[in-house]
Amino acid sequence: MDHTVQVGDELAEVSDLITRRRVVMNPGVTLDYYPGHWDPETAKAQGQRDIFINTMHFMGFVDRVALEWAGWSSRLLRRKIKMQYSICAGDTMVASGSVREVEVVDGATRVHIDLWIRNQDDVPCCLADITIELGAVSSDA
Amino acid sequence: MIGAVSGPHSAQIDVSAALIKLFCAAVQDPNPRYWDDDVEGGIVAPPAMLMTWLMPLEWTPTGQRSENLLAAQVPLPGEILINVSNEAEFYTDARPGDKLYVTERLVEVSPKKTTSVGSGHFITTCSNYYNQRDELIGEITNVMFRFGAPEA
Repeated sequence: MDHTVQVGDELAEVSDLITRRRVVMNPGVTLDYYPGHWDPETAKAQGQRDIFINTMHFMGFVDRVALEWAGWSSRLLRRKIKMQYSICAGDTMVASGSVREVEVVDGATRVHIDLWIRNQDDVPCCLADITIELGAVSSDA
Repeated sequence: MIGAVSGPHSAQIDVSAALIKLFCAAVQDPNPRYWDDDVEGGIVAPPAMLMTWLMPLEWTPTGQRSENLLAAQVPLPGEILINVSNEAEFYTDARPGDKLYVTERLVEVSPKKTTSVGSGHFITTCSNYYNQRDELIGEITNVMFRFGAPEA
């Protein structure tokens, strides 16, 4: 990715099947033992369809999609997410996004991205607003 | 309680390369900055793990337990907490070996609202995460919905 990024550019769609096994992986690693992430009975008692992924999984996924598109030398500056519908065991996360704004701050290019996660039934699950700085890492190391 | 400050709370675990790789395996993130030990400057922690480093351990030999989230301490009915939204800004990277600490501030508690999952309150907290050199790594504003079972 270079400085030819323009407003309206679209990110390549990324799909990721979230098996039951993967739902529990992230809470385990992040010490997030909230029962809705591993106990189907608790999840259903709270009105969910099944166990659901945790917030940090949403974050990790949108960060990965944005940085993979921008190039690994880019740095995440800001991320806002709003969760609307759970991703449950067996669901597929589908991420798509587009560039909302490009600006130059102190000689560095900042890209503001709108990113959406939908499930396999096209239901919106998570909305992300992400700011990255292109090529920031080499000068920072 | 609005404006109440909690902390500083010290992490019970250090930032670790092993946990970074386990996280990236869960999310399936191939970013070489998280995997490649030879990358310039060494590996860094994914920003999405920032809250992880301050999560309480379930058990310690001394019985020491971190304090609950401020959102759980607010004197309100309803024991169930779900995350609604989260806004984070990142200033520098956390790296293996770092020991972080956090300060948390209660920003807002909404009037009682009824949603599809139940009736309760939206609780907004703001947390600042620092490393052992008192460098601000990131700032996270989180909104949780705290509610009880529908008939409660």
